[in-house]
Amino acid sequence: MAKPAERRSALAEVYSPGTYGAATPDGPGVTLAERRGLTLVHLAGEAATLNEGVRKATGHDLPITPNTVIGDDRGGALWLAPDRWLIVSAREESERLERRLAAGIGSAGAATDVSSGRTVVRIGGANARDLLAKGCPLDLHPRAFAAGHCAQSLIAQVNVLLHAVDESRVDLYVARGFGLTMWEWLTDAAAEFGCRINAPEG
Amino acid sequence: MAGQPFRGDEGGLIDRERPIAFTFNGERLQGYAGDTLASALLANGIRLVGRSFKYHRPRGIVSAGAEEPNALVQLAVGARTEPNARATQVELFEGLEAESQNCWPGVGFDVGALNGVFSSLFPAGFYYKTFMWPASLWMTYEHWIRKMAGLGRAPVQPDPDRYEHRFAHCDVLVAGGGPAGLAAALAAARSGARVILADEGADFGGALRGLRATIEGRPAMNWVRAAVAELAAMPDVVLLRRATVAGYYDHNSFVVSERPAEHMAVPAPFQARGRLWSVRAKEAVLATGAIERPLVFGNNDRPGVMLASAAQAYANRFAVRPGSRAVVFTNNDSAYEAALDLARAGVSVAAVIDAREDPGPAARRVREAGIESIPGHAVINVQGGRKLKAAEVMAINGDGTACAGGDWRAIPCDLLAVSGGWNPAVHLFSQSRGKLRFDDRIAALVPGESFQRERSAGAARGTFTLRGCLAEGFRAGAVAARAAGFDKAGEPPVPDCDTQAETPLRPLWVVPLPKHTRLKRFVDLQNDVTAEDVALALREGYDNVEHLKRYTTLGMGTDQGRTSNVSGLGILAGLRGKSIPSLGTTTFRPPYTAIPFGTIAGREIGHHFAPTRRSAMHAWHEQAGASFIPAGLWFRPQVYRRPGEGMMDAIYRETKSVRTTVGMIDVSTLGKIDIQGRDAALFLDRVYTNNFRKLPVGKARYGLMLREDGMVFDDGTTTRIGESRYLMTTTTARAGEVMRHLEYCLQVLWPELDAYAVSVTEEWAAIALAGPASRSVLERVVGGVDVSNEGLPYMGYREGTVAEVPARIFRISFSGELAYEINVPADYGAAVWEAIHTAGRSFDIIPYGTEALSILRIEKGHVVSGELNGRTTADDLGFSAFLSKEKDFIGKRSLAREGLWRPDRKQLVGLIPVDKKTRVPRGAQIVEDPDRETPVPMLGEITSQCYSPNLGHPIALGIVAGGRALHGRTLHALSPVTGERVPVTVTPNVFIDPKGERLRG
Repeated sequence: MAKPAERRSALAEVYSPGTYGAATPDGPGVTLAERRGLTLVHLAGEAATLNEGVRKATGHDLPITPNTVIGDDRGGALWLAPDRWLIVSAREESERLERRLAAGIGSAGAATDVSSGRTVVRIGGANARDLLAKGCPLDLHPRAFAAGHCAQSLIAQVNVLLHAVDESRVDLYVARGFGLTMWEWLTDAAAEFGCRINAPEG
Repeated sequence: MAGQPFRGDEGGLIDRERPIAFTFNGERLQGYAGDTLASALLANGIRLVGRSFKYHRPRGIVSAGAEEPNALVQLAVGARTEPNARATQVELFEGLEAESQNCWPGVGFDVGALNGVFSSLFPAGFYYKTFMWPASLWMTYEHWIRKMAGLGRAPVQPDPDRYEHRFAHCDVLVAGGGPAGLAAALAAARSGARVILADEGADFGGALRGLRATIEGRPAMNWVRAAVAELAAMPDVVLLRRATVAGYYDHNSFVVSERPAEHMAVPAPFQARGRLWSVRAKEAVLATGAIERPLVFGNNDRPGVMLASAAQAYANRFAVRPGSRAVVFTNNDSAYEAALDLARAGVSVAAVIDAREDPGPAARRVREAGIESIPGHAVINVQGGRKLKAAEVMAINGDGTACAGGDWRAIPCDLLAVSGGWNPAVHLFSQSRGKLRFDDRIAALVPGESFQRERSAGAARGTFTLRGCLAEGFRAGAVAARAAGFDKAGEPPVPDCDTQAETPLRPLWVVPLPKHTRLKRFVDLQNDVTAEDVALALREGYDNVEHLKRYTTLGMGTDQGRTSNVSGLGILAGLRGKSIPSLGTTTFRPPYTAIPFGTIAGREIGHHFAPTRRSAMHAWHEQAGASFIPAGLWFRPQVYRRPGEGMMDAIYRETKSVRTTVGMIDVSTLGKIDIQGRDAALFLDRVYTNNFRKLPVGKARYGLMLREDGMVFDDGTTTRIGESRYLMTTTTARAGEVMRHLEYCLQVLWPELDAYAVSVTEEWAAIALAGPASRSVLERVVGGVDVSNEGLPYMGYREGTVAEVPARIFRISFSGELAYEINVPADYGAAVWEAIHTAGRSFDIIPYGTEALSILRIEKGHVVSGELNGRTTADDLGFSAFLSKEKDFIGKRSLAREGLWRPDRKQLVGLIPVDKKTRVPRGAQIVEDPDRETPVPMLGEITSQCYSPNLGHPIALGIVAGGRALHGRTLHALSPVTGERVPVTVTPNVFIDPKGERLRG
């Protein structure tokens, strides 16, 4: 019997921590780190009927205000669309969370594990939002996209979900199949600011 | 290297400590940091810089800015070469190489100048006339016209530089960083508004850089520097230099073309040479300034004839004398300041000729400075060819239509500074769909009624005093900020500026010709359009301004007629005896100045032209030597060739292995949709034609979806994986469409259903394991599931582990062989694929690609996009058994149309060449008798074809009229494209194992 299979991220083949791009006096303007091993569950249903079950399973409520997030930099619930959320957890095993959510909400909605289906990159540094503005048509100024907000848009023709974790950090979610293409775009676009690729998180 | 004989010893916004070496037409020259190419050439006494477009006449520098029609040069060499650069805007840098354009063998002696001698052969519209007479010669003309015309040369090597795109949002966008723009930016930014201020120049200040104006008694540039410093210190202000607001589009969106590295030979590492900004602004202030008009008189294109404001800017901003002895010719006050500044810079100013009878106080000021003032006169002609020698002056009558005659005199000069008044730069305003208005006070078009959320300020709206520009700028900035929600935005007090009383200008669109002369009077210098061309066009019937433009090409050059459009209008109005406003104007279109192709493309070049979608096993496929084929944005392995193996050999080897041993294929690209909810089964029953309510948990079923019009939309298997949970699969091609269709049904058609559809295509890596040995391979890696025929029968589903990874295992088959599909979370896809491949080695497992998959599928008669072409019904494809009679489903009503059941509809059949050797041509038409008289009735077409290595002969699928009744008949496959014709026998569409025994074994 072969040894148990290992998880492998979409970026595994190319991921190489280090400093790249232009040398800038204040150090790299952008930091990138893949967030691996996150548990992601897509949740569909009506907030009123789901909320209690979600709180039981995750400890927090579902955000009702469009494009907002309830949670912290380790996990939470991201509003995606009316009656649609993405539950994110850096803490627990994906199947367990899907099952606990399913148990919590009963037959009221639908919980779907999508943990493997997204590549997640945490973008930090003084130029994090400048980097995203090269490809994303949304207004990413902190006045328009404050900490605790999320939004879906396009970057380099690819659908993305952005979460403003705080003033300086943004998490970018992209479909796994586009993970490598997005990573190539990010590292290329970050070059002019100087870019530090940190060890993957998780 | 020569000195700079025309450079003043002091003054100017140049850095004499930083000399810069450059070459022009191979000659090594020197200028200073802060120079433009044009100012450096003038400092070196070079006035002849190019040849004109049509007549190849010698041309010099006319302006000091974006309106330059003449001084277009080719920059650099090799991959970085750039044509049509305006020398007046090119910043000088060390090592700059520039060449004149449109001349051969050189700018001093140009063979093409013969066109001028024979210019009567090249009147307005001559290009169109060559089409007409004699028509047979057009091919000859065209060759020579193309050779003679055109300006610069396009680069032929790949561009080595980076270009970037950038999105930006702001409360107030200010276009133009002159006094009005800076004032607007200050007023808006002080309120806390997010402001973007963009200026095309290397630094802010606009016209102030070329004037000797004062603010609060100090040089105006001090005020500019303080304003820029204040703005730069504000966190929400973006200052863009070398950035042209080039386009104004709907919803207050703008395109700004920034040239961050244009002033360098080679950009710094990772620095963009060009950056395209897409800006959304809540409010905009257009402070784009004004452009001086030249005057139209005999030989007004000679090198040395220059806009008065440009001559003034060269003297003030660059400390350059653009000539030694100057004559000034004007119809308004502004040129008098130019005359005084030129005199102050050491140019001997002989006279100021003014078309007005009484120029007022301005004339008194120049006389006090010792300059002759000649009112009521005009320059009617100039002497000199490559170099200006004298201006010929004559009195003109009161309405400017004729020379008064009698007092002709020639004033020697090598510089003729002209001013015909000022045109506000209304380009952006016009692009925004604002309505222009003709202002008689300044005889120019000014912004009228706004269409979008913008306002113009300063010279851009016809206000030419410094005090007026600052006041309007402050007001516009404050109004814009308040409109963007910054209620407290106020207007700073306007500082004191020196302002002179003005005498109104006298419109003078064209200086009359003296009797018995035929001088060329140029309206459009870049396209060589003369006043006579305008008159000719009018005589030939082109009296509409849009027609006039296209017939004469007036205003159609790279300068877009910045110096010529209004003059052309004025001349046309005069000839027609109408007012300018009654003629209308041509439309201003983006971009304001040309945007490099590189900047437009940005980084969407090479492999970033389109994103690439890769499965979790992509790297394995690459290492295994797969060649890839795009499937939408996915890249799928097409075939895995072994070293030395031919393409077709590899495809046939893979195909045979699946039928004889075992193969594995990456099917992660199939669409996968998680469907949950109490009404999930009901939902499936409505979108599929066949019944899903009775499907037990742990079973898969083939499903067929129709469009509303009854045609087949997509197919796939759907598996009941839980009590109220299903997994639907779709074809790779239609995955997105099916998902959209389901969402539409749930959100719009049946919002009452408790059902949810979530795409899980990206979540699951999918591996199909197919062939007689597939079960043996699976048994080695599976855990917790009995995969025997009894434990997991055909169309069964179980959950267990594969390589110790939680897996979904489906007993489904596309190849027609015993087969399984294994789904694991994508992060485990590569490892599980490797484990299966390792486990299969002793069974000679092979990976196979889409080519083998396609052959296997044709052998089994399965339908894909060629057959699901949007025009086939379920019955056409032999699927009428899937049309449930017990329930309603999307498309069912349309099937009541009897035409969809006619026996002569094109039906799916198999086709085998009669000789069992000749390949059936791709896309061939099927006919009964190819030899009968045309038109031959076409019975159908080939939809799929291949050589079947398992049968040993070619096979094909096709749709043929009434085909199911024709089994056994011989028809003909004709390809009009290749000329092939192949007799084929009609057969059922399943070629291998029609009873499906292998599937179920």
